[in-house]
Amino acid sequence: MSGRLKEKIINIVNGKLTEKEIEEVVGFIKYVTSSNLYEDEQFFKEVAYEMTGAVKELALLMIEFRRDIKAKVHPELKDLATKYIHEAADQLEGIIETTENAANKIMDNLDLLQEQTKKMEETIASLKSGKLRVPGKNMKYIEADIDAAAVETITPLLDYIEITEQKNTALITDIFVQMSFQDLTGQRIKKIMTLVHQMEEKLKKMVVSFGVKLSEKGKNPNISSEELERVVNEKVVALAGPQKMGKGLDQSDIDNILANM
Amino acid sequence: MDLNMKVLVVDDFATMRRIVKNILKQIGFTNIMEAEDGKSALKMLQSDKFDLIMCDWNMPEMPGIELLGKVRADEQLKGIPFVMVTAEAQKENIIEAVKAGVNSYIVKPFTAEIVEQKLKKLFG
Repeated sequence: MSGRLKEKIINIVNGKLTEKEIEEVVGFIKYVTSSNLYEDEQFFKEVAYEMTGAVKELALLMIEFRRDIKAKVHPELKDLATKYIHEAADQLEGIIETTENAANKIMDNLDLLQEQTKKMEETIASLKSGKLRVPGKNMKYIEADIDAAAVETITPLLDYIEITEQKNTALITDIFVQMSFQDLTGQRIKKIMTLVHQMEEKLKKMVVSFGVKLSEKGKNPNISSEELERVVNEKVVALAGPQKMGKGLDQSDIDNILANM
Repeated sequence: MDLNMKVLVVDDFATMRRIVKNILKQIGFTNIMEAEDGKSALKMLQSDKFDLIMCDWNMPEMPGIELLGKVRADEQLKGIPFVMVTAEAQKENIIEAVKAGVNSYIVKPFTAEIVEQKLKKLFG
């Protein structure tokens, strides 16, 4: 019996405890489980209930955290986004999508500005060479020759416009680069989403494990530990399913389990 | 620097790919392709000839550092200049990339001037 127990513990700790520490754990478990003293059984129950209470508190904190994020973050992002953006269904994923849409809209406008700036530069170059060539109505270009004296007169103005357009080009490029905020914030949000998802999965398993074991033990005090494990595993599989990142715990099932703890 | 060279921009964020492409166009590059992760980038590299790779680090399917390793391990691809463009700015990341064979390392957020500087330094 203690041989099997020791083997089980070795598999669980996976090299993290020394041989001596494993022997101490085995000794403790044997003591706790074999004792017939009322006080020891009571102690074990109290420890179990205390852990159950702490797990329940943690689960409630997680649920509150997710509700809070939905309430606080989403309205602020709506204010920041442009008027042209549609909301995404899932809040954390929606932040990435919302900011991506906003950044793309801004960059579309920047593309148009860049095109216009380039056309202006071409028009100025053309004027400096004595040729007037500007877009007119109906996509047709207006073309005319300008005499040398007129070109000389307006050259300072053309130089000024040229320099201004170059500055505009640099500013447009800089705004483009600033749109990288969407990538930087998106990467951070993805990390948060991954962490929240991992915490939720672990917590879900812990809640289910404690809750189901207590519930089943209450219904059938003679139930074996193997049967308890089987019931817990069935419940975990049933509650899993294809949950998308950010969707979180299955609320009603978890609430039911918490209510029974 | 040959501005006709074929460049592959790899990043899982479309916004970032667009920014890098825009900067490359401002510098004068005309032949720019995109991939959204390391896996699809590797397929593109194996089926077409590229002269420069500009790649993010953190990507699903295959992170940039893994793509770099595969490119350097491939006889056909190992000579392609590889520039990491990433928010990972820790010393150990830079060392890891250099050991894996990166040619240049640009940290986000960057400016257009820095990209141009780095590429001119890379190609002379």
